[in-house]
Amino acid sequence: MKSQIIGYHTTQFGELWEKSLFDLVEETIVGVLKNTNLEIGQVDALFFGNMLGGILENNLHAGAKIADIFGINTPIYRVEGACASGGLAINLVHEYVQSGKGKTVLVVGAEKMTDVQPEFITQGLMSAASGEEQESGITFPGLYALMARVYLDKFKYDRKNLAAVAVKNHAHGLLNPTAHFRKVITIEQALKSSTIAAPLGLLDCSPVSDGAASLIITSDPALIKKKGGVQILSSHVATDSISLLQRDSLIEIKATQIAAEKAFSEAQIKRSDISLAEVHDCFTIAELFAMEDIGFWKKGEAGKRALNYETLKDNNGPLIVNTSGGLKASGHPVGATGIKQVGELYLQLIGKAEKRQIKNIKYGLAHNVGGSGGTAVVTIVGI
Amino acid sequence: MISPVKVWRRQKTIRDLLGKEGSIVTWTKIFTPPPQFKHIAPYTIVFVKLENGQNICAQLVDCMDDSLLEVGKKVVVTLRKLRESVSEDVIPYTIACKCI
Amino acid sequence: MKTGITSYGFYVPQYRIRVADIANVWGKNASEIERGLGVIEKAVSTAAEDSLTMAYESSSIAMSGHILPIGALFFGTESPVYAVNPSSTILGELLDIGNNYLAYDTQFACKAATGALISAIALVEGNQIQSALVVASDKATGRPHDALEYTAASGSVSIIVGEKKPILSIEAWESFSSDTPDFWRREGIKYPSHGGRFTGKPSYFKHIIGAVKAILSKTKSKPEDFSYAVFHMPNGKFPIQVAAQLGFSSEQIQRSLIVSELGNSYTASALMGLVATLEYVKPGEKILFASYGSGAGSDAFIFTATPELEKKRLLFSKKIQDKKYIDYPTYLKYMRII
Repeated sequence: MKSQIIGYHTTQFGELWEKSLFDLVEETIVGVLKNTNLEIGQVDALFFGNMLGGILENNLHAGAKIADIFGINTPIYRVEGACASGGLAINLVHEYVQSGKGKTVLVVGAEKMTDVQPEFITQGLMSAASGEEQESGITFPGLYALMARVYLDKFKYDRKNLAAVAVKNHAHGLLNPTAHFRKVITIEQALKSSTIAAPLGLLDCSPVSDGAASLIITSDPALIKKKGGVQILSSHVATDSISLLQRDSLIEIKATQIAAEKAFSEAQIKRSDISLAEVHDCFTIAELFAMEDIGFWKKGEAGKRALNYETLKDNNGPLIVNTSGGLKASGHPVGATGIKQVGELYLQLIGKAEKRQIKNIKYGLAHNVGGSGGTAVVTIVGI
Repeated sequence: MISPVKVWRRQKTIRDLLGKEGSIVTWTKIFTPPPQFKHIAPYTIVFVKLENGQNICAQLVDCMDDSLLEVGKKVVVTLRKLRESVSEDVIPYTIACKCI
Repeated sequence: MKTGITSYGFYVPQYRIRVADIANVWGKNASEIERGLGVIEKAVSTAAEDSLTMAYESSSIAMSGHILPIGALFFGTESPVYAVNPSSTILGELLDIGNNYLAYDTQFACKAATGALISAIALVEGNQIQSALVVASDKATGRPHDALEYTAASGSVSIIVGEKKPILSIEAWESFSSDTPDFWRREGIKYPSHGGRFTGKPSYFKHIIGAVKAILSKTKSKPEDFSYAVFHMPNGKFPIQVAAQLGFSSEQIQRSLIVSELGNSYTASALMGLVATLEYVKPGEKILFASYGSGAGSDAFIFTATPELEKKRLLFSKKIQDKKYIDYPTYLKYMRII
């Protein structure tokens, strides 16, 4: 049975003062139904990816909240996996549709992060880390900074190799109307930006953003014939210890390696078949790890290749990464990111990516990570 | 409010780590702390491999000079009060590392 | 008495603030204050430290190599981490001494720990317990712009009392007490209050002189019998004056006068002076020791050093040179005043 993406919608990502979490959820569900020309009654189930709703909204019954908004009795499932909540939700929808449990499923991811001061977000995000890590006062930028230092020292890189990732993603973000940041930055600006967790500076870190995105995925042959769309060829999840303290290595994310290997194996394609990818750049170092762990580049090469802007759209290389602007420039409303990543691949593959359009793509890969690597989801789509 | 029962359970693990020696694997310095750590920011966090092979993550205290930080530097685990508890809470003592 | 001190430990935080830097904030004449108080700088503990964390630091040194069961743990402080909840049990748990011990928290201004020392001696001397741990620890705070701001400091000293292989044998003790309100703090009030010059003659001097005269009389001793004397140090002047009034020489108290560099760590103050002195004491030499606690009272002891001291002596003078100076805003941050 096919698992086909036939529709996508995203809200603006950024500081959306007028919209609450569920306003954003409503907006994107209404939007994706409109884009796909479907009624909510035609949806067999909804899956909702979100991380902080429990802590910030005091809501741990999102399914009922969504049913409330739309006046429906459809099965709705909330999916949790820290920053991988969106990707995890897509993975579950893919399984759900393939198992025949439902034909047409709507998956929505959303996050509202600007209602409280950033320090409470910093604290809330640490719920994706272990108790020992939380107790030490470390933050997420700190956890990735620990890893960054080991990587930079081992492969003799410096902060410029990290800054180049942010510069590239901002160049792409400029072309994305729904991105949080639509302006170019330079390496100098990145190096001078204030230190968040040494050696990471402000411009090495993805921002705190509001936003929501949704997809409609179906196995219904009639709908697929009518709408076309993009097929999910494989989607795999892997986990690893929540705590960095238990990892085998501080310079790679094993969960990504396992999920990627399984995804490529099932889709029966090679790394070199992928010409477009959306990878999880929660921090600049994370994109370097992603490129190596997914297997696009060899261990230790990413720093050099990033500085050469090999994955920048305008360099017309064989693999372009994060045309959406990545998490860095398009923003990181946590639960929505995984959805947006696949949505961007969908737009690109059906030729609707406007100024960001890459030509001649057959396959795309989305990579979504939870926490410091405790969960990873790799999804391969193709046309 | 921090649960007194959680502090009590945690105390025994903390006790078992006190006095253990190890060496620094990597470190960072936090400038944007969560609310409960604002009063002692900025602070350095070290990732340490203890002699018994276990890894810990803790604040480095009483280290006079950041430039002295290097991979392999020896540290010992001691006791500190890091997390700011609400003034009515049970005090959550925790581990920290000192250079030796 | 068969009882003695069998082991000890100390903790002085690394950070110092100069009296001059405090004086300049309030527009006072720095050298006048330094001269008047006999203090140049004081030790400051960080915002991550309190009387309990410092007690852990000093007691883990004292406990190192100690094998006998601890039958009682006395925690003396005037900056307890809880208004109601024992610190002795928290420390006992962290030191892993089991559950079969008497946990005892006590306060009496700067003499809380020395009063506890007397209780410890009584329990060990009566063979009711094998050894006792007595801990003195304070993170003393002075109100900004008050005289005490220049001297209130942080520190901790731990002592183990037992009969086996003491490093100092305890010859005698005396205690002199009266109701004298020279320094106090009410419930809910952040900073202590004091009676200004009333803290001198009717308070510090009267009680130390009372206790020391009693112990000299009881043991039929004279000042010349002692190689060293240690008196509580609220500032650098009082101990010198009381020594002179009692007939002790400046050579006898010289080694103990750490207040000029470390400030007054309250319950740990006199004991820190003893620790500083022990670096130099030779077996057979006698030490006269007198603490003072406002409110008021003084505990006096006569110690004799044994050959065991050579094995357990701790280096002090070099260790306290390992220091870093902080400025006034950092001091306020460390003391949780801002």
